[in-house]
Amino acid sequence: RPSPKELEELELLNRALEKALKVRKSILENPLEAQRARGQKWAAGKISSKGVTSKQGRSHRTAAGASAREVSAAAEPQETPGLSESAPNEQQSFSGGDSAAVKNSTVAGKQLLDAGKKSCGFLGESSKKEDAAGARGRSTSPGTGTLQEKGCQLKLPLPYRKVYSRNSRAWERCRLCQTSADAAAARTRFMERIQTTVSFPSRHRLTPSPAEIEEELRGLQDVLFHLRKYMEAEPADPPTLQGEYESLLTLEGLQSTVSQCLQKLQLLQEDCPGDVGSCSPACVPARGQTCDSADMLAVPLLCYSSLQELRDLFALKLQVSMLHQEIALQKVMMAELLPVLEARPWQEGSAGLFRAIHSQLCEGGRRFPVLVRDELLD
Amino acid sequence: RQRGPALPAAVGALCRALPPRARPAPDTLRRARFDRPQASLDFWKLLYVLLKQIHGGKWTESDAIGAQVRFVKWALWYQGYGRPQLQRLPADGSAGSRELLLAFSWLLHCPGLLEQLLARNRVQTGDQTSVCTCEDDLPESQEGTSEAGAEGRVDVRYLQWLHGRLRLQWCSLHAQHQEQCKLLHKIHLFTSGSHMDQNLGHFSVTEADLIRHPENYKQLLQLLESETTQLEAFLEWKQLEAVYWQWMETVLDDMAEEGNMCESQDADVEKRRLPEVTSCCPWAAKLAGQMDRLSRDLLALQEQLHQLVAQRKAAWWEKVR
Repeated sequence: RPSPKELEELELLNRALEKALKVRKSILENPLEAQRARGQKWAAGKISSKGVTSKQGRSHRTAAGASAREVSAAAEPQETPGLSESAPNEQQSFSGGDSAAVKNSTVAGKQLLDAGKKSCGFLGESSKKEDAAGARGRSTSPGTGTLQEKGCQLKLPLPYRKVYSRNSRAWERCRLCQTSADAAAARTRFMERIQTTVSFPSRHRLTPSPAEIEEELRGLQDVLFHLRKYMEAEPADPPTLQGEYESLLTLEGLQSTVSQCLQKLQLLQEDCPGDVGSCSPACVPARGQTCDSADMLAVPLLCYSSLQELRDLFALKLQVSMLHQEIALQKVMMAELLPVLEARPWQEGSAGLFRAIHSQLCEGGRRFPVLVRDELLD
Repeated sequence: RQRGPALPAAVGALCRALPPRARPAPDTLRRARFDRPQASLDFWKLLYVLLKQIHGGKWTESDAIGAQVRFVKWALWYQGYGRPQLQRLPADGSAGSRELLLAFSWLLHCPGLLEQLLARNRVQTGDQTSVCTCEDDLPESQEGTSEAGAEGRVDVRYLQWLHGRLRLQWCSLHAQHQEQCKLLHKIHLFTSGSHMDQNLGHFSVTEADLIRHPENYKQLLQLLESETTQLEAFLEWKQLEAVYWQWMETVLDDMAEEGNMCESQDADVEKRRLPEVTSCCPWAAKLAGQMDRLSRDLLALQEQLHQLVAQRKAAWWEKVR
């Protein structure tokens, strides 16, 4: 039985869906919005149709009525002043004509009709604009033409360009900037003095700071992870004698590394500060620090060479994040659910519970095992 | 040891090179040098904001001074700043500006600090994503869920339902990401060759929108300008750095004269390992737990390897005989 909260959420979902439906309807009813929507549809159609020229645009005029939905028309409405001008005209022509039909038609039908009329008007206009474009030069005017056509000729506005260039030059200078020898020497002197004369007790023996301890620990955890992988990667039964010998050497190498790690860990545990001083409840581990690279001021450019790469990047990042979350969830669920299994004596109706717990813990909640009662015939 | 004309310039440049919301007035530093109590509150705030930025934590303007003081003390301790006088400063932030100046300079010694802050606060004009695979800081909520029933029990089916919903969210997030990629790619593709920065070559989403609606982006331009100013201050600071460190040495001289010297040489003997203290701090407890777990895992691995090696050795000698 769904809880009140679930019902509430279902309710919200329903309302959201209804709202979305209403918004769509209102867009289609509002002519200006409809034109924008159509414009966008046209733009979308254009981008996929690859380089439609104005000539083709004209020839589409007649077919526009029928195919307005699919849309391969070459018009580009949105930002141009022509849009707002033609709209009222269009409306007038409508009301002159079969307004009754228009009013009574379904929303979809109206759109089709509008689109048909519209395409006639617009194609002409925009193609005219296109012809005149060369004369005018379109360096900064948006909207006359899709991004696909005009994108490579666009220029960023001058104020932005100036500010941007100054900014990147400053970054570059900072990146190349080195600490002067005097400054480095003066800094070192200060550090030495502060550590030796002004009571920095723990620093006498160069014990690591808590931050460094955490860092070391993370490093050791990484090493453990890799050692395990290497161990598992060793073939169980190497085919050749030579291979077997090498495998044995590798394993012995892993053994000695593990011993070293254990030693390091022990030292680290000893270094662990006993006096924690004033502990803040808002202790935040400095996770971010470890990610910073040496050259912090370099422009961090990530280049990709195809759409698929970009998509893979995002998909994989999400997957990593999901896996982290699943791990965290698994830990919590194990902590909560396993005691349930251990604690109670097995009651008659527990099968369902066990199945649910098994499904959550072992199948990630994705699959439900089938329980079969084994009736033994005595 | 005289101050010279370069000192105000150095201090001023340093202040201007710090991030906008962690920017002290040069006067604060000067007052702190003489341990004036008026400078204490400002200095606590400065250190608080800086340390929060370094640690990636969140903070607000209205965080209370007590919380600020606690956090700064902890964060400095965490970074390895061992000076006990700092830990003993009053919790209301009313005194200790000179101690804080010392701590501030100590933080600065770390060569990459200013650069790190600059990089972290960089104004974004491009399309960004991180490739860091570190675990997100999932909230460690010890509070039980609000869905607990009357007797504090939760139906496992509710758990299943929640899990299913979570998966649904992931799926729709994935779909949205893919859609975003498609659109990003279009903008990048269609505007390639247009950017004045040859390294980039194409516009970002922001820049493409900037072309259509330049009036919406006045603030962006302002931010870029002030960042440039900050960078220039950084460069100036790098020129004048030595003067600052020499000045800080005079602070140490003063403190040495006042007898504020090394208090207890044997303090560190006490400060050594006290494993039973872990209960007082969640961080220490967590660390101890992690170390124990690692130790167990390493020992288990060692045992496994030991057996495996023994096995293989025996087999090897058999074959080689």
